[in-house]
Amino acid sequence: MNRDDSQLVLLAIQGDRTAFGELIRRHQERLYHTVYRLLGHPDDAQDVVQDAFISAYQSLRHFKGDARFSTWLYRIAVNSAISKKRKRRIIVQADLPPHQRIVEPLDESFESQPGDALEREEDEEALQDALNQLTPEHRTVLVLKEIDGERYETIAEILKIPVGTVRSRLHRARLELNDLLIAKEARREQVESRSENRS
Amino acid sequence: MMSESKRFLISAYAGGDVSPQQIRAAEQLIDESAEARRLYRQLRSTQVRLHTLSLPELPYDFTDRVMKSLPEQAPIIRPSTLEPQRSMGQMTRRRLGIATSIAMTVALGSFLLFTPSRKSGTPDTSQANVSAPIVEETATAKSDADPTPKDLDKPAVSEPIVFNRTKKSDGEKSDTPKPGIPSPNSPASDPLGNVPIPLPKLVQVSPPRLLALPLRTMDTVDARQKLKQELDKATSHHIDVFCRDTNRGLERLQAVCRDKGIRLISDSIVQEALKRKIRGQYLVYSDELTAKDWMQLFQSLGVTDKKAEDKKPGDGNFDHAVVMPIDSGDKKELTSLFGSDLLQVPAKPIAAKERDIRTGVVTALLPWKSSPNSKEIRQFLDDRRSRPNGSIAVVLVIRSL
Repeated sequence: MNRDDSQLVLLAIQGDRTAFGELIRRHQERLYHTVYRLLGHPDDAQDVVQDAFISAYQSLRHFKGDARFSTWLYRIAVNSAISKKRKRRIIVQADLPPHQRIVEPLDESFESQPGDALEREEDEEALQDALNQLTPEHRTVLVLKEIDGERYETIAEILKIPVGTVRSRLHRARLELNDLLIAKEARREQVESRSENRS
Repeated sequence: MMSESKRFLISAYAGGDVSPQQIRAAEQLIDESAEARRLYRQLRSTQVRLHTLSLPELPYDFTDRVMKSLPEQAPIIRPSTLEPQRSMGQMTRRRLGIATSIAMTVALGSFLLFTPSRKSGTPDTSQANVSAPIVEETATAKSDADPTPKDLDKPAVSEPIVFNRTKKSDGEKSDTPKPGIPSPNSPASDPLGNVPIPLPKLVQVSPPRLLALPLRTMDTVDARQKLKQELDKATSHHIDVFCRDTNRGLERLQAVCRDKGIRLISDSIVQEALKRKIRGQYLVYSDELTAKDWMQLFQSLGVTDKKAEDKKPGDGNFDHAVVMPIDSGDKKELTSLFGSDLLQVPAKPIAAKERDIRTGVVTALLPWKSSPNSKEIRQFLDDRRSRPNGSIAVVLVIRSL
């Protein structure tokens, strides 16, 4: 029998663990994809998703049902991912000398490119790398809208910000990502032409 | 260099988040400015790249891992957790009170156990029979009966005094629970004082209309008739088609449509996903085909698939087709994908030369959702005319098994 999320939440509150298991199965994939794109690292993303489910289970009594369960779960996971990303950024920046305290792109030398077969993988890496350079606020809005296809109202509910702020953040994020990708492409072309000149 | 507001306008236009006035302004800007055109192209390209990002898989045992790490105790709301914390003095007094009550209970129990019961009118023999041996649990008529004056005259030393603890007086019934003491037959109340949460009220609903048919049986007349009858029941349907490989499924559907002269417009995300062999789910919508057309489409798909399976087991791609009525979820999905309610038929009349052209549209579902502003969807929407006679609206979703 198919039960909706609110029925499963009620059963889980009454102590039915299998009902909560069903909720995990329903939401884990999408949640993982979102968190993975926010963090850019599979292990970190798995940890955050797992912690989000545990927190949700422990706090089920606080779930008032005025929002959808998925929205509430996303809020927990996204906040956890943002704070994890912030902490990681601080650690990375503190370990580096001051002049290097910006996130550097991966090795882009022409020699390091493995060939056409991995072109798509590289393309994705470049995109993820550019995503990582956005601020957590911009990245979150962009991932929720462009990758997850969430509605503005849902994003506003997840992040607890006004819809207008979601729109403005999204436009800024799009333009910023676009600029980053153009700059990246220009650097790549420079490296390629240098390597051609050498050979 | 374009101003920030113009860049915002182009970004909004690329994302399909614009009012009709803004659409006009954005299109005018794109027509006039090469920089705006370039920015729009770049933004659309980035959007497609984001939509088609591959999706990492979770480990197969992820659910089990999370379930194992959940705390053992269910998150039941206990009233005791709502009580304020007690101070150390209060705790000590409480413990002393519990210890005292236990000691008093033990003392009272011992007293009741070892003290003989007395009946009214029974003479006190304790003084006279100090040395008499006490025998328990052997209730006899003799001992229970009131002693006669004759008995009293006899020396009592040689007769054992018998006490019966099991027999009760006439007015006392063994099954009657004393006030304050729970009866063993009554349902046990929760010692922690948990209040059971009432189950939600279940509403009985009539079973939904549903028909599931294995696609490979569509070569039989019986299966085709069943499908046709089901499609004739309403003017709009949702059909889920389950298959092993959704991309192959869609390609076969496109091929069958081509053969039958049906134009299937594919959204750019769909094209990109097929090109890059990224598996996803697809939604096909058409309201220009009749129930018979759909039946013939399914027949072709089923026959081809059966042939492939017979030729080499495992080559068949399709499983079941499930026909259901369109619900509010479908309507929402259609509105989010196309930006308008497709089930509302436009009033534009169909031109005579267009009567033979039947069209459908293919869009990508989650996780790569098509944009309602994409060129292909806009083209489909612009070309829509009022439905031909006898046609039905079908939302067909190609799902993976």
